[in-house]
Amino acid sequence: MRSKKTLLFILSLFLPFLTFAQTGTVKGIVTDEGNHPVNGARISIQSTGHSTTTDSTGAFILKDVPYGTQKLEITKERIATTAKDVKVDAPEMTVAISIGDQATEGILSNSESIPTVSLNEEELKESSSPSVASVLTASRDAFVSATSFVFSAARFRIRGYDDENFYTLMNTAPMNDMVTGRNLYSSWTGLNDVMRSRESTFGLAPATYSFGALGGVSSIDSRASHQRKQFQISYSLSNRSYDNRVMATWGSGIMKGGWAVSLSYSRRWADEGYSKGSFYDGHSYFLSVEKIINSKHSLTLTGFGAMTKNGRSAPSTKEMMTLADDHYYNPNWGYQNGKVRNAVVGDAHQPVGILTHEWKINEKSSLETAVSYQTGLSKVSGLDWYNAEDPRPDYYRYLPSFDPNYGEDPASFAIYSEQLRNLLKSNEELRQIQWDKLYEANQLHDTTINGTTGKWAKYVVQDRVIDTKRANFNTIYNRVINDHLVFNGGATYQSQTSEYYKEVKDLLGADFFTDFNQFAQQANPLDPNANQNDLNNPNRTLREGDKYGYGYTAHINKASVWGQGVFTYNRVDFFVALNFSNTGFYRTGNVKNGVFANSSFGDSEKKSFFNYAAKAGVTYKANGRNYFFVNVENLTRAPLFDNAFISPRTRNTLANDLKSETIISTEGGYLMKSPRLKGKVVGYLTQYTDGTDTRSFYDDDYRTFVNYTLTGIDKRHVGIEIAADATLGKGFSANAVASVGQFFYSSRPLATTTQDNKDTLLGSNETLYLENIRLGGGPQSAYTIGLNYRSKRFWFVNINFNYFDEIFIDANPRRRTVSSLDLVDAGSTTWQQILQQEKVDGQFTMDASAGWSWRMNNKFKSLKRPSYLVLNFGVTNILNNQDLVNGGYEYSRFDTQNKDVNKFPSKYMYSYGTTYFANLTLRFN
Amino acid sequence: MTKMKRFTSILRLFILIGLTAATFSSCVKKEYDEPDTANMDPTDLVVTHTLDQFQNLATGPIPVLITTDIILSGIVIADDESGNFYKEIIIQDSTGGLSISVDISNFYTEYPVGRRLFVKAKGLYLADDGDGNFQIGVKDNNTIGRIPSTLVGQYVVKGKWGIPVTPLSYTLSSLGNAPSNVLVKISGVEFVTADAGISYADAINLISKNRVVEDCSTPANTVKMYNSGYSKFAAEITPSGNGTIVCVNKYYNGNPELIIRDPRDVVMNDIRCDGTTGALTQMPIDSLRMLYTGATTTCPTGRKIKGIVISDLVNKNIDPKNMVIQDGNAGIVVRFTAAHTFAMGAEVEVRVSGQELSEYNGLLEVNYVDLGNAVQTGTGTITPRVATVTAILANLQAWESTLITVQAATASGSTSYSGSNTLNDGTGAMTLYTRSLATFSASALPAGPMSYTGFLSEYTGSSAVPAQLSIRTLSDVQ
Repeated sequence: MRSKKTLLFILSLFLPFLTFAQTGTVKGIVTDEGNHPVNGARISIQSTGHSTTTDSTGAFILKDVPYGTQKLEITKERIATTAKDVKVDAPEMTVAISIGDQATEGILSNSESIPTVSLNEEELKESSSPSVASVLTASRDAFVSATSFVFSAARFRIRGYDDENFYTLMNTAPMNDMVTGRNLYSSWTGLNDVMRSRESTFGLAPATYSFGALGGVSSIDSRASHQRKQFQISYSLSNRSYDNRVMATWGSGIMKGGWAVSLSYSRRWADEGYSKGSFYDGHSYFLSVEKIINSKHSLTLTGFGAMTKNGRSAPSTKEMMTLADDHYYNPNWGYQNGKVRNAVVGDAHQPVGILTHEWKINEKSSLETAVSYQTGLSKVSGLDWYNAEDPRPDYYRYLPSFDPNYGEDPASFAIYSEQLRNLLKSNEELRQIQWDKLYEANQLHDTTINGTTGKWAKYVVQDRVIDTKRANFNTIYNRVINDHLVFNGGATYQSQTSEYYKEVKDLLGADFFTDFNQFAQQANPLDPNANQNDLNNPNRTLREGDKYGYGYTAHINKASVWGQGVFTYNRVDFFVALNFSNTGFYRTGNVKNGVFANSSFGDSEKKSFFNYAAKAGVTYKANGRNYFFVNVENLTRAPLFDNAFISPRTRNTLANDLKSETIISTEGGYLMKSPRLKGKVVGYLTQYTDGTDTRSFYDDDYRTFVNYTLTGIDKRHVGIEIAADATLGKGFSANAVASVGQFFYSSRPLATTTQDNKDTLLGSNETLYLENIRLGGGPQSAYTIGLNYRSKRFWFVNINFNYFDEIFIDANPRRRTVSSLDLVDAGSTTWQQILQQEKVDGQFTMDASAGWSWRMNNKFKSLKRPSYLVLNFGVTNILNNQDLVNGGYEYSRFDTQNKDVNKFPSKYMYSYGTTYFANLTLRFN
Repeated sequence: MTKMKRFTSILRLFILIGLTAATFSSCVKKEYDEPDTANMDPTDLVVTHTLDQFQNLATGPIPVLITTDIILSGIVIADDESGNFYKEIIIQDSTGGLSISVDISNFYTEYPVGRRLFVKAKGLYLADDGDGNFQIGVKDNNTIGRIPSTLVGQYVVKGKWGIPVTPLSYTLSSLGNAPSNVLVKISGVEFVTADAGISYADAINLISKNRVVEDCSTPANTVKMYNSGYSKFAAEITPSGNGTIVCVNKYYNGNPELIIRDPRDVVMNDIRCDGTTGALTQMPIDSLRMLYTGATTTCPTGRKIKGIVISDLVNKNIDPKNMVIQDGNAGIVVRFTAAHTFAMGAEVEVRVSGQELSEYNGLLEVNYVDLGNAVQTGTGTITPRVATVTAILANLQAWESTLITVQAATASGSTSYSGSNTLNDGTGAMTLYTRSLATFSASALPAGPMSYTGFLSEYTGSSAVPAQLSIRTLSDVQ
């Protein structure tokens, strides 16, 4: 009763703004310079909030536009925004708009042509805290643009969110992986030319095509009719994850009979990327065929994929970086026969097919529907070994800081430690994997196992394989109900299976390997079955290409429906949106683990979660230039598959008391949109409650892999975002962006500790003293000031000064327990060392870029179609600051005996020093 | 130009671009050559000292720094593949043996038995540990410490591998004349009765054990064999016959001590000194129970029993030192001297030779069993006997320590499982016993009639009915 009254009260507050003025309808056609209709251009009137998109004939309609002179803004990807003043003084009027003359079209703006993301997406995906920058790339918001390009080099994360808080659609089909919740950017990496057309919504604001996600949502439109009619070829030179890129793209435009075809191909490669031992080898392809059946229906089939192989780099300890005198020291590679070989190689190819149907039911409603399917393998290799020394060169026992004789003779230790330090400094081979030694170890031992005689490998290169198959269905319905209300809604169904297993990739000269589990054997010395990874195939000997180790399949499906009403009035806009979903998942064990014979094979319990999300927001338009808004969202979220099982690799056992996470998020602030100055000041607060997380690591004390299942994780993300973009005149403009945030644990989660190799519980509901500990990964605060000059003679130059701060090393929960602090005096130095979280120094960087475009027709009269030569050049981190830590973590083990926080030192990742990206494009329209 | 023609020409262009890109980027081919692993000795090292000559440089237990360019050579006679040797490489030449202390686990992958090693001794320390065992390594106060892993290659140079190693032959009486750290072969020996047919060491608690070896002289000469609790064969059973041992000879407190590389070094299939085979005969649990005289009894020699574990250590409704095993229709409690790790459903063999057979408050036990006497041989299941309480009370002695299901029984007494409650199936009443330490002891007793499965015990130490049923987990109540 009371809430109803409150609602009425709130509504009555809006009444004064619900005034009505005389309005008219504006119709028009947008064409490019070749007089081709421009499909998918956005027409908007900022002061009134009117907005629409052109159809395949370039036509648009804006209704109920207030009388008076209105500024129509026409935006289309890769074409700078064009504005046209229209005097609305009749109930219905028609305008013709031509866009894409050389002044705007030839030069790509800095942000769209030069990705400064210095880590490739595969690396981002692997790390625990990926950058989410690329989701919202296309946004024209100064803030998002800065975070996407300038800040991403430091692994800044918008509002500190993980990638699962962002959502991407491609041609109406969802593009997220259901196991991790993350977006599969790697599926379309290298296809920049055809992925440029996208619509993005930041934060909790309503989108017309999706309920959205906490961080934002992006809809990529790569349909053939939305690609420009042109042929374009480019070559790029860089020193980041790849050195060379060749890209070619052709769009047919809309041909006779309503057909449109678009093709793109790119090749990217590097023999060695920025860090030593890394390499890159990628092919990406794209084909889209569209048939515009009539003015109401169009059907598009899109297929694309990226075949990528890359040698990875890994974080390491400060000790190794000092020995190598290199913050980009990479422990993953070593010399084999004098050649650099990387043990950790990613190899992925997961092609996607999407069938999209667009139905313009009438002037007021439309229905877009897509079915899509993605399948393919994603592999990451690494060394594996059985009853042999750890081959990783940065293993702590191999380093000068480790005393094998327990610190009993410091004088003697100092001498040998110094000798070792000098040796490692001068001998690069010893700092890296010694492949020749691994081959030799595989030569020395002839054995007979299960009837197979030969050289039994001590070391192999394994591939950890994920074989994913996902089908998606999504439909989006939009309807203009009346002058003030637009309804958007949709339904989605997704079903995914992902099979996980290990595969022998290289026997390193040996004859076979075995499917044994050394750790389980040690943990269960009396159990003759314990060392069997698969009791259904015991004592198996393995050749290259054989599956082994763990084997399981994740089955996940999710159905959801959403609906939203967006209300628009002269002074106030508001929206209400609701989303309901049901997520189900289970695990199928494909092998019968020797330790968990009864719980590893076959299907697990099937879990199902019903979740809701509700959001609402209101914007007060003080006038056409000043806006105030508040948005609020409340949702529950099903636990992710990866976190729901205490040890998905070995068994079907679910975490106790598994429940959905609850999230409340709110954002609000002030926006300014004046012709010379655009800006915003936005505050946000997001509270996560009752999250679940599972982490695994090898633990020396227990001599086994240990799984920490954390429940009751509460996290708070709070901060303020400020952005200003000023036009200074004479081609100059300046922008400034600041994002100041705090992302931290706001509860003491509980940990249940299990072992991978034994059924014994190591700890149950142990309290973790994590409250107020910051979340790791990337700077929590970032600042930039940029100065741009755009010449009328078709070139531009810009420079940015950046500062990154509040960078924290990810805390190891194990250290913050009562048992870790046992026998330590409260408040003593040791006590503080154990509990303290490391914060690294803030750093300055500087970036610059320039571009130039030349219309070749002026020189070469024989060229019939408009043809351009475009040159772009960008340099990131000009001052070569190599001290910017963009991530790091405390080691998951802790020396509970001696309480020595340095026994297992933290590992760090640094942002690249100076890198460049140069690009030459030839374009024929 | 028609659209189709234009399309094919575009396609051709794409293929051309692809081919060009592939040509330019052939540098990123990632196929790897396998390195040569030539089996040869280094050519630049000239041996300066035999191991015997080198040992003469030691001045006792205090480490001596080697300051001259001494080069030694020897063949590896013991490595750590089985884990019985740990972080010491034993090399031997024709004059003696030497232990190299290194901080490498699993060094056998690099320095296996039969590989010739060259030691550049300058910069390392040498000591005699006082027992005549010579060791080289770094200084660790007044003893020899381990050479840091990555430094080992600076001092130890690898040579030819696969060189056959022939042990020196000794008898137990002449063994005291053998040098330390050399490979010896001793014939005509056997494990003493108490140490035959039991595990080499304690694999559960990772405790090393000495097992005694004797010869056939009268009185017999004996020598201790040291077995590491961390070795992979710690849980294996010592043979019972007579035969030969190949092992490394060391000295401990002035006496020889034998250390095998792995159990393949022990070949004992012959008749023992006393004319028997020494093999253990498996007896049914039923027969073992019948041997109990009513007072503490000693089990006969040469016997073992085998059964499936029907108690559950995970949920703790049994003393951690106890397990209940059942074979056929009979079962018994085995009480170890320390906590064991035999899980429910494990098939376990227990050597009972000479063990005490006694009752604890009416419950028959094989008592004081060393963990080394038991070994898991597989897994199995026991189908519970379905019986009424009346039948149980009538057959308590015979059915004790077996798995029983009582159907449609109601538990009463306290509200939780903990302690002694009454179980009544309408035919009679018995005790439902749950240790307070059991993980489920605080759970509420079910109200209605249920089916209860558990192992049957006898307890005469209280006023409750001596017949006790103990469930293993809550899923035993259906």
